[in-house]
Amino acid sequence: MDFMTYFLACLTPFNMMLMVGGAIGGILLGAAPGLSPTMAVALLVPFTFHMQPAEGLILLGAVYTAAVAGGSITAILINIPGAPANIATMFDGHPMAKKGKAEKALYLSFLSSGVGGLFGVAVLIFFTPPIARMAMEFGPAELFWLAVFGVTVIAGLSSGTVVKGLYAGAFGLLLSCIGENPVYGVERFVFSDMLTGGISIIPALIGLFAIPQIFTLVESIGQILEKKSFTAQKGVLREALGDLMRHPKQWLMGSVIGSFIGAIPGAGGQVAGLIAYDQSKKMSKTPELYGTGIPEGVISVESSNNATVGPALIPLLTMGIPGSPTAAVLLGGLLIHGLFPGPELFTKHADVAYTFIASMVISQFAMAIFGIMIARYSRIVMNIPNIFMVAAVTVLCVYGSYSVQNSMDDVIIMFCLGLGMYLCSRNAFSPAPVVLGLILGPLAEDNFSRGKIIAQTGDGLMSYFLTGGVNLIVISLCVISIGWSIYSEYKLSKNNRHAMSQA
Amino acid sequence: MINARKRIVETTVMFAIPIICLNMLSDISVNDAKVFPKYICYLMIGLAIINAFQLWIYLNKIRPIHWPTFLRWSIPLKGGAVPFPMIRVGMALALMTVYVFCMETVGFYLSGFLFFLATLLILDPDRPTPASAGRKALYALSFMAVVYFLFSVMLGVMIPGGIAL
Repeated sequence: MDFMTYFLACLTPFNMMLMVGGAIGGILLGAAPGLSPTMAVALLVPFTFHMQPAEGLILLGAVYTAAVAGGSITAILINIPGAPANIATMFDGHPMAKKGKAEKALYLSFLSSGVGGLFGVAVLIFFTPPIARMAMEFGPAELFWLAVFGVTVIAGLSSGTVVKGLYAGAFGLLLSCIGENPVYGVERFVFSDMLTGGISIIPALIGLFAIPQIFTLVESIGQILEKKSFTAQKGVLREALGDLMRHPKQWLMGSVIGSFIGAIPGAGGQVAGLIAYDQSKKMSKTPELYGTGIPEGVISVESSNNATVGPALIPLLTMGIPGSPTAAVLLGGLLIHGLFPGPELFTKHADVAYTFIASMVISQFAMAIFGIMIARYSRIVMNIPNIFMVAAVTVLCVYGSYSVQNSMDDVIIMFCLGLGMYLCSRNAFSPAPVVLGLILGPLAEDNFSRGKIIAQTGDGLMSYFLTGGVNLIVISLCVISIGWSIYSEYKLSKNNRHAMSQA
Repeated sequence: MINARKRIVETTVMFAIPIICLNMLSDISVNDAKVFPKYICYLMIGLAIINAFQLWIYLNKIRPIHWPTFLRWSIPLKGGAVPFPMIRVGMALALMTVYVFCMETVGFYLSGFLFFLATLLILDPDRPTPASAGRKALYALSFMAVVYFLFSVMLGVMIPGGIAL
């Protein structure tokens, strides 16, 4: 009922304009080589600061959805994924382009993304309210462990190595301690006046995600890529629609896999795309054709990676645990408006939460329709030289960081954090755990302090934090996520060793 | 391929950060305010120890350790040097640093325009001609016009004018 009420509320002309603008902008940013969806959303967060919370989230949601789909353009035409979620799109998308079917591959990609995205948002609509109700029962100990889980799961899965990922997460938690402690009023790690107020989330998000990418773009200036261009032809869209109707198994399976994987914090579109592709190949009667440029490969991958978008927001909106780095940036978008994810978001700020969720449905249609329209002119976007991206993104980073608090200190903090992250990223450290640590740090510390006070009046610290059903489940999940990451790393290094010995 | 020198520096930094932070925390008189960051520092030291152990295994594998030949590890032993456009990245860094630190004095829009143009002229591998420089100036001007419309007109952000205005 709530959902239907807000669905109609989000159909105002301004909101519709935001969704369409967000979809077009997201596709263009996703299609631009070197710009990731996370960075695209991070760059837009400062703009939303000056809007109403619901409007800001509508824009960010539309960009998030469209940027993931837009990444398929480069995957198909240049054989470089626009985002990690589009890695598996290259397997059949680029061979299709090589065969002269680039236009059809692009249409299939956007149509499948739309179908998968709608499926994912349906999962978000049905599962978010009951999980939010369940989260209402959580106390400080449970919330503390949930924050720790949020950091460990991203740390384990998004970095080159588990140790570095966890270290980066811990470093992010430490960064969140900079400034005045809100409970005791004591300053910590303030070695410069500009750090007195702590590190603001938006400049940190922009610096950590965008600056390293700018330098990576600088490294690749002058590189010549093999690009497949095409001329739009009549009847191809109808053909692509026919292909989609002929392969319901692929998009249905892709959507289910994507929705399931998307709801697991840290797994993300990349894993979903690869699993969906693998399963689609295994289920096929002609698995040998996969990789040669067949529509089934594109349909299964694109429906799965966009199906992760909606479910990735479930742990974010209900418990404050971002399911992906981009969801972490969206969390930043919530926090700058003073909105904290969790059960209260659905009671005190139901208008914002449900309007945002409802807008995600319309954004899927906007993404598919405008994606198909933009696909015809995609070569223009792809031909923008990296050097322009470097200059434009740097200027936007600086203005975005400044505009949130009208502070030059924020610009300098953004720049320093970004530079440090660039150096760290050259040593296989990832920005996502640092951001998660920075965002979830206050939640973890606040609940740790509250839990400590409660524990001192009761059975003691260990008993309070290490007993209880939910605590044990979340602690087990932390251990499993780290264990799984270690196992994956071991398996990968074993495979690499095997491949090297074979060579 | 990560070389030995990089990994040694990395491990040293991984130890240095929590140790410096613990040292900074020792000046704080309120104990409860430093419990959480202190535990995090301990965790980071633990992870740095694991990383050091992994480094020791790595170094032992690529060349058996004969103490005290520590300095010899500073030579990349495996994989060779990765080609890295040091000059271009250095120039980009210098441009950004000048831009960030001068923008308040020069003015946001003027410095943005100058940075955009300088980036296009300096980082472009092609030799600039008067025609290409003019074209790039036009691109920079158009982009700054869009930024002005977004920030000052649409969002109403107060942007310092600097010496330009």
